[in-house]
Amino acid sequence: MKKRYLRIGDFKRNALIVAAAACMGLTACNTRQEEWNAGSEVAVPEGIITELTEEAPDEWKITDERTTAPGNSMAVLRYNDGRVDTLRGLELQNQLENLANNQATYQQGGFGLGSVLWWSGLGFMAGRMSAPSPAYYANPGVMQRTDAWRQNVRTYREQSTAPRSGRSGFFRGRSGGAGA
Amino acid sequence: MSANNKITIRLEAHGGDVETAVRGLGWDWCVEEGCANYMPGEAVVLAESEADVLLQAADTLYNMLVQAVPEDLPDDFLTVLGIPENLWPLVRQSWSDDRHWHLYGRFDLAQTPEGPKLLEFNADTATSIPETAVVQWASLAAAGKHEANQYSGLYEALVEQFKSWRLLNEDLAPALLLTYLGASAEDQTNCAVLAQAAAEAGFDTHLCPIEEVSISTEGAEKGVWAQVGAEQWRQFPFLFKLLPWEQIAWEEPELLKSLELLSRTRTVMLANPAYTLLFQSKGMLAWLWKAYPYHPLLLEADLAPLSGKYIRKPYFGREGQSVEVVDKVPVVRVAGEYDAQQQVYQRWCNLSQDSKGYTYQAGVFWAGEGCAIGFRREQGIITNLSQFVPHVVA
Repeated sequence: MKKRYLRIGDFKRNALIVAAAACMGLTACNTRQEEWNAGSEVAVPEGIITELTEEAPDEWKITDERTTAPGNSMAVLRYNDGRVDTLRGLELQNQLENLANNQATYQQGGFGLGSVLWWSGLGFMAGRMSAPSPAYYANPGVMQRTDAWRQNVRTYREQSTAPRSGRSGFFRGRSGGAGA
Repeated sequence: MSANNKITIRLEAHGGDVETAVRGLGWDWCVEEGCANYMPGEAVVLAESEADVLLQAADTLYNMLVQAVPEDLPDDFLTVLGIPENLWPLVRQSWSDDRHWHLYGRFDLAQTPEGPKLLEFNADTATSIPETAVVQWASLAAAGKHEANQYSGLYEALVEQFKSWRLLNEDLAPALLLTYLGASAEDQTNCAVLAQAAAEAGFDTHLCPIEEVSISTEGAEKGVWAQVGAEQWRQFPFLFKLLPWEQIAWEEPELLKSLELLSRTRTVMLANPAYTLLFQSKGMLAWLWKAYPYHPLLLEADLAPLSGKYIRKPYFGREGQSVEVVDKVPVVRVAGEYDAQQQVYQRWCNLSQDSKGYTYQAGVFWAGEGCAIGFRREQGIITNLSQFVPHVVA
């Protein structure tokens, strides 16, 4: 067992002790007290372009993925028969909404278009919380290319309004605390 | 020192102005209203060996609790502990997945001549965090006792616990929402200290009353959301709730349903996890006694009244409400809102006492390990208005 007792005179032990010590004039005044619960600014996340290639009938792989300007996200679909299709704007938004609404199905795997989209960067934007899986990428390099972006999206899943489908007001009207 | 089967508490008076620090931190509730005498100018003097025994007791008891829980959480077991049935899926899910991390809890212990005895374990929504981590330190610092030692390493242990929780769930964005009942400044402050520890552990944190949290289970909006700025809502994959699980289950079943769904899809991680209600239920006191009869850290407990002197406690009572002390006939009864609950009967145990007749209860925080001690005192049953007394290691 580690010794958990601490000396009172250690005024720099942690942020709250520093703040309390400053309030009592035990240490030089500083601004830590304001800092410790200050919010931080966030930036709008970048968009993503995902290229999917149909390697066999309804068997897809992610063959390219890169970031783009916010709002310019796109899915490029290279079909087995040589056809190339793109999803962007409202069409893409509908597709992402479909992914989010049926994630239980897509999450389970398979290499159909829906599942592979779900496991792509676009699926991540649609609300997939789990880390990417190399099985869906043509090679690990493609997957790693968006690591930094993913980190950023993870931190900044934000929107300007409350979720339309959200419920709130839980425990409204309760007086007193709940701790013990 | 013991007399009449009780430990006698040694006190040391000290002066100094702790109020300035408390108000400076914005924790005015600590020194106002019902808490006017919350911080007396006295400290409990504790030998290092006594303090070590208390922390060691927390470690041992925690291991005993974990070992006493049957692995597959059978229905009978959950029924005996009074766990609301709509909470069973979430309790089982969290118990079987190590990524659901118990951040902290507080053991309330009686110091007796035979060593510490478990009164109860506040595993789910323990408070007294600011008092234990900061205010009791400030009270000695204000008195100029800079060379003194104190077992108040709660904050540091919490940072470690938050780090573990984050690293176990690295696939989720480290954004943590801490929520509480908006009417309680005390609960908000407890959350604020937790938030600071979490921030040090690498979380982006935000505090918000539960009334203002928005929860969606649909589509791309699925998740727990809170407003973090003007026209700025953020989704939080980590949620700390200073709300008792059984109250969520009883009073807000829809909220519980949503949280269960979001947890199952790994959209949100919840702390303290639902399985901590197994430890929080006072039915567990009887279960522990069955598993470890006559263990030196335990008091006899049963689901039926005992012979001799005992205390009757509601399963999910808090802060001393609705308890009854019986010594052949009822001798003390504390009014409260928990009368209708299942009850556990625990052998009466004399708390340690000072020369003025105050009795003392040791609150020993567990955050991965026993890490801090804080004392509450009262001339009767310890409640939420009992005085918090700092301690100093002799």
